[in-house]
Amino acid sequence: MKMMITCEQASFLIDKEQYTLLSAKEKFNLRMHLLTCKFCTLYKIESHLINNEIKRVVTFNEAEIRLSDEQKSRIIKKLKMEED
Amino acid sequence: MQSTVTEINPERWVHSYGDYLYNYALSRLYSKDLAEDILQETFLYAWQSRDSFSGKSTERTWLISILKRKIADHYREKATKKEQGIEFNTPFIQGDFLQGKWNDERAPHDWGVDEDDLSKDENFMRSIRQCISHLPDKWKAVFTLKHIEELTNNEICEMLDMSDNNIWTILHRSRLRLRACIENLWFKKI
Repeated sequence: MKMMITCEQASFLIDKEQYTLLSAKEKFNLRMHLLTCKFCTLYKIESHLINNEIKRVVTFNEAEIRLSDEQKSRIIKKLKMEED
Repeated sequence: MQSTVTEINPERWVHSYGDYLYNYALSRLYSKDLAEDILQETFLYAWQSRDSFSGKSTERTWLISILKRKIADHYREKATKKEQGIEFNTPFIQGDFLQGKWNDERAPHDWGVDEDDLSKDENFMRSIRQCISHLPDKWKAVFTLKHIEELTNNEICEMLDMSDNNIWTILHRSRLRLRACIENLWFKKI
């Protein structure tokens, strides 16, 4: 079985697969590896979970964070220095 | 005739668009201080180049385009710096016959959670943000361009002058580290 890939390679493919299509060979190698590897199977679940959550994190953050009055006056002060 | 020009007033910008631009910067830079600095630079640049504002777009759109450029400059600066100091502490066994296998102590644990429950939890999202913010600057730049700006690898290659392989490696290492960070922060609080 010279086709066997390591966990290091499998986890790389698990991540890559979430951005792009894998080649047939990569897919096959990954599937074979996952059949017998419980750590990489967990990695796959968690990596997908994180991927989904990151999407949420992005929109979540764009909600309400305001500049404090202190920050605003700091910025304005510096701008005024520049104007003069 | 001069009315549009005289209306340009940076203090009003700060009050009208400050919050929006700040949020935009913060969600891409993960640091309040840094976001404030970049915002400052944006307003300053806008002020200095106010003559180039044609009024074709709205003021807000114009300011965002400047902010985007400033953020891109920041990423570029971080990405072109030598990678010194970035330690990648691999979770895989190196250099013996188990080469490439998970190191037992660093291998994934079963989180045993329901994803739907997790995603309702704002603290969990905060933990993820915190973990992203701890990535090395260069990785953070690549990771953010990929996930927030949704750029292709080609676009990132061009922008940061990196190879495609380099980007895959950085994305993968970032994700390995994120996973471990989240596990430490969230699932080992027993």
